[in-house]
Amino acid sequence: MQKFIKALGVYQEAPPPSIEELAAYPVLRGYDAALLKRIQPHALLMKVDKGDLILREGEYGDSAYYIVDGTVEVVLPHAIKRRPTAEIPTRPTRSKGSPIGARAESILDERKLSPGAGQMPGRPVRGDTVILTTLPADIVGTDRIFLAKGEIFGEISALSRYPQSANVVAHTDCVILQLRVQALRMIQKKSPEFKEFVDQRYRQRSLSNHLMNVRLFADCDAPFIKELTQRVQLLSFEPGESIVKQGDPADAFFLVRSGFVKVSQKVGEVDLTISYVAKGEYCGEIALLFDEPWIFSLTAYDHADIVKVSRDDFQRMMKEHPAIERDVWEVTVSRLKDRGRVARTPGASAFLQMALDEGLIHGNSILLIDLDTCTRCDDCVRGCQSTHEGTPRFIREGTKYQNFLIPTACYHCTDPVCMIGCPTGAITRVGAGLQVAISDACIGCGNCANRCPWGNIIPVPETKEGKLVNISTKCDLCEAHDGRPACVYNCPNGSAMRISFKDLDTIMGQIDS
Amino acid sequence: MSATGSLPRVRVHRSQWHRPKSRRWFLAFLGATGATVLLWLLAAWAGRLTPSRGAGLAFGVISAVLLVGCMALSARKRFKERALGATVHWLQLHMYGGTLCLLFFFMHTGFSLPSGLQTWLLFLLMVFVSLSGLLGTWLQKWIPHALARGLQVEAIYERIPELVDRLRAEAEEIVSGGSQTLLDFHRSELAPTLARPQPGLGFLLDATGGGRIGQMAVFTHVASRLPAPEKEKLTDLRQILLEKNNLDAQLSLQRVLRLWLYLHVPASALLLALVLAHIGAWIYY
Repeated sequence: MQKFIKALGVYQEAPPPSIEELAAYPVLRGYDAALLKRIQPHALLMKVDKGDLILREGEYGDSAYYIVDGTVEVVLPHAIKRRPTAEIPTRPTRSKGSPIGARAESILDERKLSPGAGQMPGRPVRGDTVILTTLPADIVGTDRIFLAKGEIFGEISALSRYPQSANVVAHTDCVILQLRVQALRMIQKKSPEFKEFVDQRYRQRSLSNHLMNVRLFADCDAPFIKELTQRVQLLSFEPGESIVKQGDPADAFFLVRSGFVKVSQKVGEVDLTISYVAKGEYCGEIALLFDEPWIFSLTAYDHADIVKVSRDDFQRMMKEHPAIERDVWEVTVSRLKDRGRVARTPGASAFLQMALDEGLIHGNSILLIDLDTCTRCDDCVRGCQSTHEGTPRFIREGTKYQNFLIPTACYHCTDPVCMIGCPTGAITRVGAGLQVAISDACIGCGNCANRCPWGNIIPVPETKEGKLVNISTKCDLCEAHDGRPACVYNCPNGSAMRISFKDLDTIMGQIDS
Repeated sequence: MSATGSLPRVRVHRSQWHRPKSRRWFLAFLGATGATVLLWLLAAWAGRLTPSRGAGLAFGVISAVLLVGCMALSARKRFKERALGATVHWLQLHMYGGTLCLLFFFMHTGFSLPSGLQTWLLFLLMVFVSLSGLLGTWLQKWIPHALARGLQVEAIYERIPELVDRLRAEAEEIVSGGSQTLLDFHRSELAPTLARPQPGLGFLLDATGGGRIGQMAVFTHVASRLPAPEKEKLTDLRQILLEKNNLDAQLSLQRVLRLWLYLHVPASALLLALVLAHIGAWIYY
């Protein structure tokens, strides 16, 4: 296991303790050596100084934090902003020896977080209580609470990929065991008790809020939602794992809590991709409404967490809430149309499969070039270049589909894995939309570039504080320049466009029909 | 709704390359042309038109203003100031404004041939610039369509030589350690083709390189002489040759798109200079 120690004001990695030491921590007690050995590469021991920032509100986490010793303070962001500059906390960083980003002040000041609807369970306010949906306690009457030795926090955010709902700062000098999401999944799989613990906490803190954020449940009253949270089953699936097979009896309605689920159907000998279901969406209603076996198969596309609502609860919900019934029927009709379209035009399935493979399904703003009108003049690249101090933020090369080019440019994903684990918090959502941008706080560690599965973050050599580092660069939708993307604005032929995957799917649907 | 507003207009399946890119601009152009012709008829009805006086002079001034307006496209492209508006509108203004400029020019001359050397030069340059502009408009519509529909490979112009090098290296790796037949085939048939980009005017007639497809027939002949395990290598080589063919087409057609500008831009600059000289001469004399 690795350790973080703080030297010269910056956290640095230190040699790992042994598996025996690992087994001594109460949170990992009782697990066999083989499991601990697998967990070891995904665990870190942090010695955090009093006042240092551990989690930042709005940031996407990839770890749970177990307090081995000391006390941490959960603080709402306005409370941090009120502090004098000297008291603004630092946070552990994986950079070795670089002083850049050690102080969080500038980062906190420049943050303009406004995650889009449906992205995260909000932070509901009930009277004088702020419910911290991804943390193990609520803030009552004041703007801070304390978590002590033996508490674990951050696991809901890591497993469900929701942004943190508050800042967590070391109240005293602390020793904290950081367990990355890979380790959490291993423990969940091995230990039903741990899974039950995490699920129970999710039920208590986030599920009702999650359900209320789903359009389908928007009209349901609080007692019904509360009852539902206790009755549903919480399931987790590995990438590629089958959730439901075509022909299985219809016994439940599924709500996707995190990840993506592929919907496919066997037509003859071919397995056609019909559509996909993303976080906050649902499936299973067709089989229940028509009381027939599943006509689709569901497969987890990546790690998928599912909320399973039983047939009885689904039918009760439909009976008691006519608005829900209407919504469900609308979705059913639309999905049956999709099925018909895909069955008639195999190209539609090919497009969806390509979209899954290329990660377009995650995209909120995909750069698309219509090659049928593009004169290859490169004005889009030059526009981007002149807007971003001479370094273009995309490459006019990428996947060609029909007469479209999908260049190497950030998709501004709904679930941005690049934002996980940035040591300085330089990569954030900015502006009013779902844009993801990298600020000047980037130290060039390459974490985001390595995490982006689509290779859309480009490292560019730059001298920073006398050192040559590979600063991560990516499209920021020209947020700092009136928010109109330069690539689109400078295209003389109107061939470049920024488009969400939903719109792209609609356009492809129109093409196919 | 998309991030940039309503769903963008895209061209798919239906061939639309011969249609106007913007219906709104096209209708505005038709309206402006109609109004211009009406204006000319009214002016001609009112009295005899001469280039140096009255309505004839006004048509000349409008033509010069439109010419300067058309030239502003290159300034817009150079200075990427957002306040100047989206480039897509500037290009439309350039094309339709240029056509109207020609119309006003003819109305200025009274639809008659010029008399002096300077005016003849102006006349010929105006016609050349307008025709080269129309040629460019057609090329910019037709070539992208041919590249998008006819080819599997899309490439950045400047990177094509590097991509060809990669294909050559890949082919050499495939045949290394192969049978003598395969090596001979590579040396005699493939290596010369893969040695360097080979642009050709034939791609203007057929972007898929129909004329070069005959080369593919050799593969069938060689396949019959190769042992079974090497047939897969031959399939890979065939794919490499197809990609090379696509790259040559990209190079050829993208080069045409670039070279066309050498016809249009310097002539336009010269035209502007002559127009200024013409105006200067008119004021002086």
